[in-house]
Amino acid sequence: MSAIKVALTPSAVVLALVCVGAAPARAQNVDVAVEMVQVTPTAVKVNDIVTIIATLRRLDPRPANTQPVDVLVQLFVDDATTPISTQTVTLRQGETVTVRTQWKATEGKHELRAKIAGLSARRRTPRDVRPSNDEARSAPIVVTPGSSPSSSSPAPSRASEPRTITTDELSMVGAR
Amino acid sequence: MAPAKRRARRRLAPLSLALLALAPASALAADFTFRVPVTLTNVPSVTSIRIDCGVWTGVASAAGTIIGTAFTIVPVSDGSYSGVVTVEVDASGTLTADQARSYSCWLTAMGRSSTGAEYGASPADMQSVYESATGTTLTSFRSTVSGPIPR
Repeated sequence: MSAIKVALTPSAVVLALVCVGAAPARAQNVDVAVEMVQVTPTAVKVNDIVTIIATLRRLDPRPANTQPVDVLVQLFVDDATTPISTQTVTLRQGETVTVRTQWKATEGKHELRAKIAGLSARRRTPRDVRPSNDEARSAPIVVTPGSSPSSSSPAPSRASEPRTITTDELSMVGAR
Repeated sequence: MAPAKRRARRRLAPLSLALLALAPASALAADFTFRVPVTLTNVPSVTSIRIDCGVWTGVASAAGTIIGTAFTIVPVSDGSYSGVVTVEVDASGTLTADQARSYSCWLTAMGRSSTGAEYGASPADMQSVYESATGTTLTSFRSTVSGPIPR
């Protein structure tokens, strides 16, 4: 009985709360997949600028994980070990995000590759439960010698009326 | 008319016809013409900007399969720019313009860092690349715009 009394004193309660707060956070199970790597245009000549777009999706096994996760993504040409781009994107559960970069094409047949290089989060350390979907490759593209016109789109294959779209504004403001 | 002149005209006639035949093709409008308003303020290290636009089959922004992309590069001087950049995108490959449901346009800023090295700040890393290259703060930016293709 005296032991119970000691346990319920205010200082003991504070101590218990501190202990709970200091306990190591449980890892959260996270599944982030590289779903697709697309390259455009697909008809490419040497020195053309190619846009590489990787689509990432967060597919966690349980719906309770709501903490955003920072995903480090790297894009590679073929089996090179040095990435052509390294980016960090933040993904909440169920979200999809695209990561883009440009590459100046070199001659030959190439596959562009996107790989998740790491996960991090502010509170609970994320644990990748399915590393098998951390990497994806584009369909092969063949870069031929010669040079293309400055635009990256080849000749039109029109099936509808041309459309003009005025977008919202893009901007950059630097500090004074 | 002198025979020499007549011969020259005869020689030039096929060329003129060829040029006339080519003229309508070059005048064809692109499948999608994006007019992208761009404003740059107080970014003296930026020497040029590149505006990419792409169209996708998916309803959500940049979802589904890419139908086509293109870009336009615009020089920048004195750290500021204000204008509308036109980017013409054609459907490439097997997909047609009719299948487009969404678009996305994005800004890449190219410039010289404080050490003289070239840098390129793309949407995913614009703030960090710009600030580490220039040693100055990027107060605000909008590097991507997206939306549905009007039906």
